[in-house]
Amino acid sequence: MTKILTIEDDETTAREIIAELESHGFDVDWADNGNAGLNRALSGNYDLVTLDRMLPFVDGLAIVTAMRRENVDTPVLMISALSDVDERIHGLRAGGDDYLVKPFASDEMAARVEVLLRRKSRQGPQTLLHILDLELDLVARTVTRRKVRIDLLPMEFRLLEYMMRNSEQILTRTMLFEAVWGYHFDPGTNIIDVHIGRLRRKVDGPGLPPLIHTVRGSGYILSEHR
Amino acid sequence: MNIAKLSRTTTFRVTLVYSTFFTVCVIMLLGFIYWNTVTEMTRRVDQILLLEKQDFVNVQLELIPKKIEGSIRRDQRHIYLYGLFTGKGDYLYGNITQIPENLPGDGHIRQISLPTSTSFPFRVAMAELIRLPSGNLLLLGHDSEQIMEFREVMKGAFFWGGSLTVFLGLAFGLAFSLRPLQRIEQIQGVCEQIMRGDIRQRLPVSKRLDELDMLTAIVNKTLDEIERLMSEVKSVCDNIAHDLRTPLTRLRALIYRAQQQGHMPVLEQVMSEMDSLLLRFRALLRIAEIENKQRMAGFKTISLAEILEQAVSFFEPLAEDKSIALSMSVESREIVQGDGELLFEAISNLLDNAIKFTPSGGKVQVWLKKGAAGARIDIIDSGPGIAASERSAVLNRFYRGSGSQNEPGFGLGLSIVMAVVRLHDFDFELGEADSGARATIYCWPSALHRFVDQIK
Repeated sequence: MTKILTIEDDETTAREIIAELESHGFDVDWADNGNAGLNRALSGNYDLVTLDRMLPFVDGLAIVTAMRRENVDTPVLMISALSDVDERIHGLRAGGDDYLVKPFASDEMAARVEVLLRRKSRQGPQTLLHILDLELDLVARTVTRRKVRIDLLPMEFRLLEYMMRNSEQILTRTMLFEAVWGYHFDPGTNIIDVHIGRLRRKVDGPGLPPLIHTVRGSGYILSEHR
Repeated sequence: MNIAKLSRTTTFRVTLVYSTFFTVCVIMLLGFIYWNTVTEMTRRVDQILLLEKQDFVNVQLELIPKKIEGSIRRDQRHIYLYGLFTGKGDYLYGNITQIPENLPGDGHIRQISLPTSTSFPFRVAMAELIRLPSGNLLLLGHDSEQIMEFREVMKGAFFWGGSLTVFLGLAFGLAFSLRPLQRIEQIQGVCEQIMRGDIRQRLPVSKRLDELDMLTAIVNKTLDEIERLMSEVKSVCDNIAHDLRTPLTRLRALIYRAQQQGHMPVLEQVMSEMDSLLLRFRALLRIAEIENKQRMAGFKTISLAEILEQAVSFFEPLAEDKSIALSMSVESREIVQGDGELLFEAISNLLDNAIKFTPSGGKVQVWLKKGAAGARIDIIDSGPGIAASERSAVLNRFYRGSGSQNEPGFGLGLSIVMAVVRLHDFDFELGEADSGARATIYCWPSALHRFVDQIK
């Protein structure tokens, strides 16, 4: 069973995180201060750590720095009330794998956890991604469905690549915007939906089983099982 | 620092008044000395001539030529004039052979000038013409060139002394004004920083504690108070947004959980309402965040063309969905110092608005051109545009134009644009184009922008 360590001093937030992660079938341990959190994180017994940035005793940045120094490569999702881009960069530089700004939607948090876990289990560099009859060649930068070539714009290619790398997982609009366009603000309108709609028209042609699905209220999923 | 500016200072004017006053005093003093000296010198010559006259009057008439001869011999410095003439003015005896024209024989002492043909070492003299009992005329004279020379010297003294005083007055005036003006310019510089939003700046106070320092100290105290009030107001606003955002997020989480378990469509509607509410709060906090950012810190050299290309390609599908032609033309590949992420966000907001308010089948154009003092970005749409009376109001938070009631949006997009533009010290303008509305970002310091405007 996947074990997750949640380091969070605010009880309400912690409960929220734990409830959401447990509902996704994870086993969650909770540390409510920096010292306890650091000790448990360094044990290396966890598959992922969610880490509050501001903690009593030991700062979140110090914990992730200590983990990386001790060669503990557990993925870390940093959760912080500091939303400034510079803070995000500090967090990621210290060794965090992703950065989520408080307050957050719990489904967004869970989606990010899933993506981080998947990234860890992935082995070696891939040159070919495929799901059902959809193939994406990272070297030749081509996409085919049932051996028929699909022409994609560079942005669409990156969007599909990200979705295929994280297939069978819910990806929120913010995650897509961050991963594909590299910006960290809220693009606001339905513009991500429009981009997905375009990609969907190209990938899920008429008569083909749809691969890109909308998860109402949350985001999108690339899946062969729905 | 230019002279015109210097000459307007109080110190300069005061110095100028003082130096004028001083010049007048000096001229009066010199004039008094001059007048006294000339009177004294004239009096002496008159005295000498009077004595001479008495000498001659007591001499027997036939002995006069002999006396003249004796006197001329004794006059080794050649400063005396002696002449004996007939009643008609014909020369009889003496060292002057002709009666000067302006010397009537009335016995009064007058100033005469000697013709150049004579061999005297002076050209100007005081002289008298005495009618002797025999009917002959006797001319007695004395060199008065000294008086003339003294007059010339005094004229020079007037001119040079006066000029020097005026010149020194001006020079000292400028020199004295320099320091106060420098201080004023320092204060001006600091004030400009404060106006640009850096309220933490304070005016410089020197150790002299003069009247300017008293004033700056008062202004600094006022600024302290303003800063305190501003931060209070700001923190209250930010806290409200923050405090409301957290319970809203929790509420959303609860509804989400209920939805996961119950799958009720009503819950989905509630969720989407909740999300739009959260979006609004996030935008408010985002504006505060941008405004709080350390000015210019973390700025990098960025290519505007690249950012625009990215933004246009990001919005292209949205435009296509609404059958709007989104086009871009880059006439200048300007590079600016800025925050690429924030500029992208600002342009995104403008493009989003442009596409939102342009009816189907219209067009949105993005231009990057060379402006008066740097690059300018124009986003021109074929929408209804914004009425001139509404243009400044739409830049305020939460304001929505009269034509936008049916469109989704929170009236915060332009506030974010303004915050980003202000952070960069750029300028933003809403206007009209041939086809519809125009939004322009002038990518150069806003002070320069106002200057360019004035020149126009």
